[in-house]
Amino acid sequence: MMTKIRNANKSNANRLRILKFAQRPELVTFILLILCFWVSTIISPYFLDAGYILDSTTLYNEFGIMAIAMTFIIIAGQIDLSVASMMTLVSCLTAMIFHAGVPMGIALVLGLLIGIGLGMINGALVAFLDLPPLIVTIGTMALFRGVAQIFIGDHSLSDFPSWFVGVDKFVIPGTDIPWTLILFLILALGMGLLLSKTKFGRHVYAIGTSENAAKYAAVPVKRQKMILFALSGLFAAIGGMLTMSRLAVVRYDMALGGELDIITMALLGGTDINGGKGTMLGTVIGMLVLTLMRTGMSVARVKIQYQMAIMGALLIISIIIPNIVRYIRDRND
Amino acid sequence: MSGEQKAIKAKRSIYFKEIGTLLMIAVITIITTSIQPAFLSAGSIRSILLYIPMPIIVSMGMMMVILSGNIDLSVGSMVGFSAIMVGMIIRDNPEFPVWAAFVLSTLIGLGLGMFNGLLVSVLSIPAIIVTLGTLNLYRGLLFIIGGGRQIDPNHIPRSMIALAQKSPIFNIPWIVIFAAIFAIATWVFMKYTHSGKEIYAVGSNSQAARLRGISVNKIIFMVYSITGALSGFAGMVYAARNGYINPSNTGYGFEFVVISAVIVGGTSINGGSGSVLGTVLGCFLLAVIHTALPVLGVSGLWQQAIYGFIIILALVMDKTVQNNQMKQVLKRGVRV
Repeated sequence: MMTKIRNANKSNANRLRILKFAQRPELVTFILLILCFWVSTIISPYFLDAGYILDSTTLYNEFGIMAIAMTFIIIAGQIDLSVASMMTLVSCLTAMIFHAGVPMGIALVLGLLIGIGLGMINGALVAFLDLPPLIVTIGTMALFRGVAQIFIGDHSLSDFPSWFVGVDKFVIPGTDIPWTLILFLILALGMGLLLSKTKFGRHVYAIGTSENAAKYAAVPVKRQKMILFALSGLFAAIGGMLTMSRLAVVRYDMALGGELDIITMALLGGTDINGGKGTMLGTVIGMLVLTLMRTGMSVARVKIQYQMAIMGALLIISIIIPNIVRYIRDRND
Repeated sequence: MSGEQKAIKAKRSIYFKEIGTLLMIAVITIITTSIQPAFLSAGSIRSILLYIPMPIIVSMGMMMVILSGNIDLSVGSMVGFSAIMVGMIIRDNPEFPVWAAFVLSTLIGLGLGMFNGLLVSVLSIPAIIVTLGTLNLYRGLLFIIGGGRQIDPNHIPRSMIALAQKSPIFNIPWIVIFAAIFAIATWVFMKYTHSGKEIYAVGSNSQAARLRGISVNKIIFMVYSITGALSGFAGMVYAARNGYINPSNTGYGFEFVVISAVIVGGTSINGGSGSVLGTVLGCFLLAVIHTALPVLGVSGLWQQAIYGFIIILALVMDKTVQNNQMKQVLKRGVRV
């Protein structure tokens, strides 16, 4: 009798565990990842080349790195539409500082600081003036790219030192794994631990779940928001420098519309747009899905404008899927 | 403070905002004229008049969307989409009447807006995600359907281009008169109809509005549909004014213009407060800046940065005014 009950409990617990696992938002993304892979291989047999796929990740690692910071921001219930513009402005200013005669190394450090500064402008407006992040970053999205346009005009800057150019071509010796992918994964791992294992990370979730409750629980909400937006600026600067190195040229219209890809990566990974939920693992899988999808479309020679439509639809779908999953879960309960 | 006094106070603060916008227009005009007296010419006035119709028409819808506490980033793509669709019909059927082109374009825009509205209201997906998605979706679709080809000036009917040149009424271009009609119609709609009042109610407090028996979803669906229809109409205004329709240029980045116009016009970004007059003044302010820049010898490259700067400036000013009002109320003490 007792064993029977124990066994029943055990199988129940097992079932619960499986159910809980099945309801993790990352699982949907993971299935999507496999689906993307499968469809891409059907479209083009050449797709099944590990070297090619790894090489193509270098195109999206930059956005992936920015999506890491975006994950923090969205979990905290905020949004940053200005990331792609920050990235462009930082790259343009770094290039101009270099062309003004400053050594490249120092220019890069200054660029990172500029990135943090731009992020802090957003942060100050959102945290200390208590303005809604959506409209603030719509404003700075136009402002930052506009400033880049003022500084650099319609032409481009290049002629960087040879050691700086072509970061995407560096691979781990003997393999096809590019260093930028490793950098992305290391940053994701580090920031993922920060998000899930530290007080800082818990505060992010607390602010996203209920800002008022967080305030009463003595979470330094303003400081936290400030740090998050500065982080977004810093990661945008890193992304900008990688792009600069890969393209060997900067223009004011680089990464135009990149915020779409970045936000899609975070949301595909199951991060809740209303805040309070999300994981770094999800964002990493989201980034891989996006890379595979974009690469698959490029291999299948889908035009860039078609890709734009598909990415737009994907962003909306990435929100509808978790809504449906939640609906089914609520009905099961 | 009684409810009535509160209402009066709210009204006064709105007028205050409109006077602020008017002051900014005056200051910019005076500064520009003192540097370059040629600014006060018939040419500048004409340039301002030709600039405002599109922003005014679309910002009437955007104002309602922001009033209801949402946002629509896809207006530029809706303008481009409906303009290209109708442009293709005009290209293939030169006999297609101009009025029908306007009606058709409005209907196409209405459809796009309804899709936005459906996703935001019924599926309750956040407005920012829906419209960021459709911003790209519609722009991509217009390339797919339109084949990425421009509608050239010789395919746009002469009578349509004439709409941006003259009219029997003081020779003010027809498109300006259209814009004025839309602004007045919106004013009447917001002031004298239930639905108009309900937009304010939803934006101020959607929970309370729901308890009051207002169908919040219906209102949100309505404002997005209206914005779509107005964007569709604006697509033809673009064709009339510019004499061509380009798949990548038409409406590109237009959302920044419209959002800056609405916000600088005193509409509260938290929803619930704003006026047609303010929004129209906001459009005029942008038009004056747009016209003043080349007169001052500032390159067109500054345009985008200025829109961004205006949005931020208007937000900060609005917040400062709000904080001051709050302080005054607190100082006087709250009497219920």
